[in-house]
Amino acid sequence: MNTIVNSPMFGIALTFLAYEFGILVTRKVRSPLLNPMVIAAALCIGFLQLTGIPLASYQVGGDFLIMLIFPATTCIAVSVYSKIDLLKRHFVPIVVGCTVGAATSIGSVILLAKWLGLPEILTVSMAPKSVTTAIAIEISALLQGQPSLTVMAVMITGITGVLSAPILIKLFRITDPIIQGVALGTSSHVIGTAKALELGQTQGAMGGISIFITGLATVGVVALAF
Amino acid sequence: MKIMEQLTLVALVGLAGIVIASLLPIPFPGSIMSMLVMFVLLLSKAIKIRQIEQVSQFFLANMGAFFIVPVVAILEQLEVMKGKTLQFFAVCIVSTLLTFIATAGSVKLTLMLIRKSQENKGAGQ
Repeated sequence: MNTIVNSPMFGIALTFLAYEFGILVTRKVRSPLLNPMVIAAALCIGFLQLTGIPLASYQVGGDFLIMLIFPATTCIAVSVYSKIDLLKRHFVPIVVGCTVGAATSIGSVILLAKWLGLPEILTVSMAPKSVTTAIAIEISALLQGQPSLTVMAVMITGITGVLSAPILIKLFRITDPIIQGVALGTSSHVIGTAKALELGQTQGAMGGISIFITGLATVGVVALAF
Repeated sequence: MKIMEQLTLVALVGLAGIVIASLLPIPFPGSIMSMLVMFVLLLSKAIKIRQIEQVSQFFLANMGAFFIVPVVAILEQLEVMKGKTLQFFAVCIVSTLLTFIATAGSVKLTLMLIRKSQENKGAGQ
């Protein structure tokens, strides 16, 4: 049994199987609270707990998958490049919005966490929560945070953005598609951008661009703040 | 291009990102630098989309699959999170709302300032 669960194929197969199942579920039930990654992670955790297979065994194959986050991050450039015309046309408002957003996100996390008396490890893990997971994990590692806590914070952020955006848009009467897109992409990354895409093509594209710029701005803000 | 050639190109750009990041005086994640390098290479047309098309589409479409493992590792963090889960959620939620409002406000203000300066320019002519 040990040779089976300690093989890299165990972690890889379990993760991919759970992910495929997650995709199947989200195709049937569409909800901002559900995404294939969350479902898959819950399944894997449940499986490990039930069988008593140690996390370390799962991570033998898991570590291989984590390595692939790097080239996936490299490829984010492609999605931004395909929207280069919009980026050029609205360059200044996008950069200003993303920078202000990145600073607000990190600043408010530090202040709120300090106020609630949270330990340093939680604060630094939450700090990059508004950027896309690939970038957030890297920034978290830079600050000696815990990647798993960071991914959790990123998920909570994304879901909050999707649920609150319609209310905030109404409340502040935000009608401009550019403002809607940048605000969603900056505050709640990919999950927010999926919502922006529901609002319209322009909003979706602006959201996609904002993920990239906010990621870069966050690296800059972190370099200054920590 | 064949998948293997596309992968080689992505790996080389990744390596370039690490090399450049290591030369910077501030700590900078190599993967984020490689994203920037890729963007510049696409902008300068040194790399064309079709040279990395299938591989980049695969990574972009399935990125979520690579984050499952870090989430599962939360099992190791239960001790740190003990009694702090509610606060953890609260900080993330409140901060996200503030970020949305600050971003929307600053974009609105910037757009207004740009429009105003363009009007002034128009009036001067």
